Amino acid sequence: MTHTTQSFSPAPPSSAEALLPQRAFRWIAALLGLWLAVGACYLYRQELAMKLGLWDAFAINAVNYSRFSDARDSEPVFQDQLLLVRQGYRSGALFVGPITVYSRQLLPINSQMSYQMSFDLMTVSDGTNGQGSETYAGVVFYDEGQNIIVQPESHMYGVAWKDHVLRATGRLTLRGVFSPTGLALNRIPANARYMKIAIDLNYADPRAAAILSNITFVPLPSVAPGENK
Amino acid sequence: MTLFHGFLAVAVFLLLIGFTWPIKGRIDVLSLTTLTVAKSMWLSWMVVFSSYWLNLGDVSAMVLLAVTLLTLWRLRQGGVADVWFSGYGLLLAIVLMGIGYALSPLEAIKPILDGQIVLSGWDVNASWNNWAMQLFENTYSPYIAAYPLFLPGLWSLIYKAQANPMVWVMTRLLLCAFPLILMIQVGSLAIARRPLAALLVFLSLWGIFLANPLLLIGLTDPIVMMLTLIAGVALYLAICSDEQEGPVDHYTLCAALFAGVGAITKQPGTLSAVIIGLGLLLVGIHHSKQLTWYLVRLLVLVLPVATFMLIFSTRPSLPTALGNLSFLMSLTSKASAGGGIYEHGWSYVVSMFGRFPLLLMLTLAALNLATPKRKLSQIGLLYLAGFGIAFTTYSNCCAYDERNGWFLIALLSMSAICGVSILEGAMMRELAPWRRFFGRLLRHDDLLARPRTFRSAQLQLLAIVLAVAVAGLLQMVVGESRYLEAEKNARRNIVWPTVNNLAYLNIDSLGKGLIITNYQFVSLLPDLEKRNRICPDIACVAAAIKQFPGSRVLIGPESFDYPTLRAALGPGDYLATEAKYGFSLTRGLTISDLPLNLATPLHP
Repeated sequence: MTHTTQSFSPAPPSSAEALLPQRAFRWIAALLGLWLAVGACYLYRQELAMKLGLWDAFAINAVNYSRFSDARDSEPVFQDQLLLVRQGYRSGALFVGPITVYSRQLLPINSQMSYQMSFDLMTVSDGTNGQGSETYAGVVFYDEGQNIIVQPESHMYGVAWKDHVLRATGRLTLRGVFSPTGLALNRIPANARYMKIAIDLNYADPRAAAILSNITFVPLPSVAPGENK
Repeated sequence: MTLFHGFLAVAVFLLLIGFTWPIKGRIDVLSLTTLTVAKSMWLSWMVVFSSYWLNLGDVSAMVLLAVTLLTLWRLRQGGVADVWFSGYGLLLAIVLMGIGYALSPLEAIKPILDGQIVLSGWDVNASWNNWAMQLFENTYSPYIAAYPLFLPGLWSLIYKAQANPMVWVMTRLLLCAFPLILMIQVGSLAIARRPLAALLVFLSLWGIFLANPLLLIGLTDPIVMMLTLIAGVALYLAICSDEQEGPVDHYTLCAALFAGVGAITKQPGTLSAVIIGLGLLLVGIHHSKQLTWYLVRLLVLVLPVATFMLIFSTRPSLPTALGNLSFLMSLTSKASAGGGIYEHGWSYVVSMFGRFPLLLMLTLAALNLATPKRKLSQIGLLYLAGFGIAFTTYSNCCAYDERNGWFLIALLSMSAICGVSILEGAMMRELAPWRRFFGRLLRHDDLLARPRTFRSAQLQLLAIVLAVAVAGLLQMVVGESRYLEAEKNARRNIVWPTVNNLAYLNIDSLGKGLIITNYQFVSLLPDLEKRNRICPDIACVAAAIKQFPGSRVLIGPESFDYPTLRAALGPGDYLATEAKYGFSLTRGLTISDLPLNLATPLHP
């Protein structure tokens, strides 16, 4: 058997170069394994924290938000999400430079109901021209087929539109109501079945920085015409 | 006979044409397969090049005849080369494929199994497939930028064999050859006792590549990614075959061939070709090769790019090789929302790999730094440097879309494979008890264990007979009408299916009218090929309505809109609207529906 293997196989690695001593190899393999395990735990710390029920200790953006506006991560976990966003005692997340964050899952909504979205924002760097963090915030609506609704706008920034939040302002709470009778960017389209929260921070300014926290999106008992803040 | 001719053309241009390139010495069947496919792709490009200059039609039958005659002649001469294989080796390759198939999400294959059997996607149909159809008609005029032409060229050969450029099934299915080659290479690595390299390629293929639903739709980005990895693995195998001249020659030629065609598949392929060129130089110096050895490989590497640039230089108006690069850079800057472009590019890299695979690959690639004097580590460092250069370029010019950077996966994977090679020998030693265990299980079966040798001409004849037989069988079993019907059903769903469906709405009542739109893909939809008018502006729309009263207009947002016409129409003038892309279809319009300034006859 041995002779056949040797006759048709390319040269084994051992013949081409010096072999690592067995002890050294095992040490390297163990260290490599340890490094990868620790690295994986660090990279997936938010997911692990959620699995272990420790998510409150972590930044909300990493746990619940992604940068995708499409239907990825579309499990209907509305109740879980509401539970998460109702908690007001976790620390905020710091964002330096421009970023658009979306809530991770598509959240089912009733287009006949009204919802209030709110969040806290604290600018820590007023950016290049000292104009503060330029902020846009609102929701993106999706139809039954989980396709983004583009009319009148794909991003219904009905909570904040080009708001310049200055460092001197301190912590600011921004609120907006979305309803079927809301005006312009606060109106829920009749065919909306899902939504994602969308927040655009530090628009076009790599030096601006802001801390985002306490994001909530909760149903309102009665319809209020869409007015902001 | 569309299916018969199409399938046979795929076999001819991906496998059989390579038989014309002689092989010498002794070679194993897996290496022979990859080498023959490499030669075939390279030679097929030369056929495309010749066809462009000589306005040739279908040459597949001629090539098949030539290959058959040559094979029969070689058979009489004694068969040329010895091809050996072992049952265990093949069994191992098949088992690995089975494991991959069982574990992988196979998102790349699912759409094909679901009936999406034709080329689809905006860029695919607007550019690559469009150029293939132009090459089919010998009317191709180089685009203003030097967009490589390998895949469109290959597709045009299929269209010529089918005598029909509107059946895109085989052109899509031939893309499956690329993951198949990687599967074969996983087997080669396993047989070469490189378990860690085999594992990494296995994970890249089944865990990253085949999990990508866009892998096989016709985009060139995933193909150049796979070609980069295939060429790299071939070079790696050449270095692994350190003491044996035959395999070194075969694998280095294979690497040069794949890198050569990769360079004309998409622009990033040139970077891979440069790395392969440098790698070949290292191998050649180590083996004290003669000048001819270098020249052959250099020629193989450079000729595809040189011939492509010759085609490109025939463009009458000022060609600019970099094309709309500045526009793409502005897109990238826009995509990063004015923020850090490298941070933005890196977020795409994390997304394309996944977090843990990226950590794994970077860690293993870093091992190259520990042993820079080893040949494989030097290759690994070349790939790592290539990854760095590619990432910088990608972040600056092309990170407006993740897919432009997919080749980075191949570059980093190659570096990781080279890096982990320092552990391969010791790993094999650790696996020795398992090998002894399996050896005891398998040793009773001598039939599998004994290496078998064939003459290469015998295998070539077998391949020719099989190709013709399978093509004939497919044609008989599927049948022409069923095949064309399935193709049409699939083509109805290209690019934006919901918009296509809108165009088909109550199509029977359209009469002699047309579908007028600026959504260019209407002209590719089955049964609408001659019932459409692509209009970039309202003057064109008005002229078409005057000429064909009762025509319907397919209006969409932005560049698909005709604001003047929209203003003249009321809500009742639309037959239907689709929400996904915001398109609407008007009822049949006549001259009286047009705004007054457009209703005036253009040519009284």
